[in-house]
Amino acid sequence: MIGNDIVDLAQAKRDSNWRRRGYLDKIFTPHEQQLIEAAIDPDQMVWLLWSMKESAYKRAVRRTYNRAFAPSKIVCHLTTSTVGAAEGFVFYHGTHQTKSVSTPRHISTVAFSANAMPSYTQVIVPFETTDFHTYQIRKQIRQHCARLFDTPEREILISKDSIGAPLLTVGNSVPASLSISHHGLYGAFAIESAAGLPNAVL
Amino acid sequence: MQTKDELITTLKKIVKPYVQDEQAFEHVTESTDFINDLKINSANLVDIALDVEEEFDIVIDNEAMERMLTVGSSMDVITRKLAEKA
Repeated sequence: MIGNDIVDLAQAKRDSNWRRRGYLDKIFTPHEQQLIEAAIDPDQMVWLLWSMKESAYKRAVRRTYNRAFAPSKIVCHLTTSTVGAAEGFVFYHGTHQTKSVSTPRHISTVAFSANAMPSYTQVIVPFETTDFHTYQIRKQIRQHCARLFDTPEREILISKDSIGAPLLTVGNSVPASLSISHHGLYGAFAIESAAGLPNAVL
Repeated sequence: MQTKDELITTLKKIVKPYVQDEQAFEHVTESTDFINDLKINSANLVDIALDVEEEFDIVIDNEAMERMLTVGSSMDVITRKLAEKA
């Protein structure tokens, strides 16, 4: 099972003033605040940690069905962080492993099982228009899955489960875990093959 | 102490700048969900908590913020915090 998140850095800059008094305390642990303070690019660090939290939160909600919004209880630990890529662990209702990629325009993270090698594919979708984002990203997911599962696009259904998380159905089976995120001008989806799950088709 | 109607009006004023679905905002009820219905960005839920603190002069601790996902639960949190203060 996976969770993903993308942050459009220009959009984040417009929408959120993280320097606002009290803001960081409501989201970040003291250790994370130190990372932000020490960072060469604090904006980048704020949104890197945020996307780690969001992706792990999404993964956790799919297992616990608990939507409580408690960002400072989602604890990030960065193991490697270079320009353009970061890896770490996030602790929230268990341990999640995360991998993040960043450009000057966006940061995206996928959270996956802590004791497995990553087996997902993440695709970033720059939106062509300012509207119909949900449609654009779903179209790309269907095209991607048609290739991945060697199935006609009409067989691929993207719906929502009881907590609103995306559910990918191909024919009668649920062959993969799907997570979708969009923010500003960017969308991202991550797909992890469900091999090993009871309802796997593979 | 504000009446329930006054409270929902104040809360709507606070939430408005962060709303991304204006149509849903026109039909706000207590069960309206900030993220699922009003499409508010989750990073802005923190701004709502901070704005609520300033507006009502109360402290929204993390336990309280956890529950502020809908209009109704936020009204409940505010009412309780105001009662604690009184």
